[in-house]
Amino acid sequence: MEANPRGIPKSPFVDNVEEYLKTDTVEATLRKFTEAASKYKFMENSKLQQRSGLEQKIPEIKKTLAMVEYLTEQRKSNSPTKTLFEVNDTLYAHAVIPPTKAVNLWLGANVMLEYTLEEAQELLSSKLEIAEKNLEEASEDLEFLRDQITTMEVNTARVYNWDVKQRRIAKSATKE
Amino acid sequence: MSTAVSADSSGKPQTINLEDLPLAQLQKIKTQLEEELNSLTGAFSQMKQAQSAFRECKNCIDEMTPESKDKTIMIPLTNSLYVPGKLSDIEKVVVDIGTGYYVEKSAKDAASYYDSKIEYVQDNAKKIQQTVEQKQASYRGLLEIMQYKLTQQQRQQQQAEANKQPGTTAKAR
Repeated sequence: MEANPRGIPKSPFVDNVEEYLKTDTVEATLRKFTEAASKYKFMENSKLQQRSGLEQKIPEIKKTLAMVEYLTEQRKSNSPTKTLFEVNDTLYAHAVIPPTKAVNLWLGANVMLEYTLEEAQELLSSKLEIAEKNLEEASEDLEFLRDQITTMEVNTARVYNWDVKQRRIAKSATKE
Repeated sequence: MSTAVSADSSGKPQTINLEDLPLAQLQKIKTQLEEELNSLTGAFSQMKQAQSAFRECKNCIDEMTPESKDKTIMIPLTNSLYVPGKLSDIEKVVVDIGTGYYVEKSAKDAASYYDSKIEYVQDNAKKIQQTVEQKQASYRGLLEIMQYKLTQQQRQQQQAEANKQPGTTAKAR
């Protein structure tokens, strides 16, 4: 079976139902198809979650990167910056930031590291690149999965309809 | 005698005698009361959260004492970026009063602003609590009546079954 770059198997399209059913009973085939369809749907859900997580993180990384660039600019002017910072949800206070060459980045899991401005800029840009690439891949995968789910549902419908037709033919044959 | 107070279409409060209603309608009222109770308890916990958030803000203002002036602190510039800096002004803070408006106040004024906010939320929370208690009382009364009606219905059914088989009872004699 072919697969897409991330290893998701491609679903086969059943062109000739009769040929396909020579190897399996109708019930077993239908069961296989519904199983495959539910696996695809499960993967779709997890990709959707991954995508929405990334969509949240990317603007934050962009903001942090912009701040680091601003601080690099400020350092050139060599004068302290006056700013308001968030103390709490609705409370802000005045502060003065002297020109600094080091910033601290919160990496999560209770870890904060100090970086020089250049290192911070590098780290954030590479993080942003990776996140954007992952977002692209997740969107691609989602489209691909949608296709496979539709194919599987069409297959199930075709097999079921063929089965119904066969039963009708068999019934009218026994009646004669 | 249990009654529930509700407003009819004209908006006037109307007392309904719960005992007169059939079981199906009682079911409907039960689900309605459950929904109302859920939303009210949700609103109540939101009020509590808002209250603790305002208390925190007030504590933060209290932390800005004259000793903390010119002390080096970590200043958050974004969610994950911190820079070392100094508190420049401990007398003035900026408060977000909502709808995109920020007001600069003295520390004392900000503290009293948060105090009045805490009181206001406290009052609302109390009102919600009273309504919740009322609804809970009517809900309990409703459950009692439903139980009573259910046992009545069951007894009626049993009697109907017994009456349907006069032959067997005759044989039993």
